[in-house]
Amino acid sequence: MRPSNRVEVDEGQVGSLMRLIEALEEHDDVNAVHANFDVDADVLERVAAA
Amino acid sequence: MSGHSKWASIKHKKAVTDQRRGAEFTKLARAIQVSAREGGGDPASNASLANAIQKAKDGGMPKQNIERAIAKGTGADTDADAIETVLYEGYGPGGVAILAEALTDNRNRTGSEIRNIFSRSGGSLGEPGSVAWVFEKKGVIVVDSARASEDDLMVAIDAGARRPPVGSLGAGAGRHPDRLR
Repeated sequence: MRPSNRVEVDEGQVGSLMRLIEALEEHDDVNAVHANFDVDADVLERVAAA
Repeated sequence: MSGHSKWASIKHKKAVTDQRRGAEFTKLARAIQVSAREGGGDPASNASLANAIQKAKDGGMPKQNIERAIAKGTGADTDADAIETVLYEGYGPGGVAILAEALTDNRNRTGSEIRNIFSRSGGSLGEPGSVAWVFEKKGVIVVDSARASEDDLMVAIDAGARRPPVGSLGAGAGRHPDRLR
């Protein structure tokens, strides 16, 4: 799946967004999760480390 | 863990891994089951089944499990519950569109659980159709560059294929090409 547009996300919201996506992926019935966020790799790393 | 017995810590780790593997197998088996029901039990004539089987093999799923999943899907195994594919569409924090593909034997249960996950994390589950339009289904076709030139790919590009990256196959290439993360 390829998003036709992307949404930039504030750094403050990246953490809860990632937790949401992770929770969905971990759900037993869920097969795949797609999202159209646009977050810099270094922001992702900062948030993951926090 | 205690640290006195090596087995105690191995057992602990193994239990965690086994549990994860079990959950992964359940998902892989469901994908096979649905593909087999929709397109028949022969992977030679059912590309989505062949794909699901390949993913299961990559995930280390035993052959009997794969065969059992196909049998369930084609109805050879009659006590199987009907499993269907459901798309859950919603928004996450910051207005990000999220599409979750689920395979379920109970829409009501899965639906409320998914709704719960969304609302717990500051998102919301939307109506069907509210988000799906954002996404376009794309596949990946791998071509041997020694046998095909870029001109040969013009047909595909004219038909709407997107810039083909040229390179050698790395680790994980061809797996879950439709996933974003």
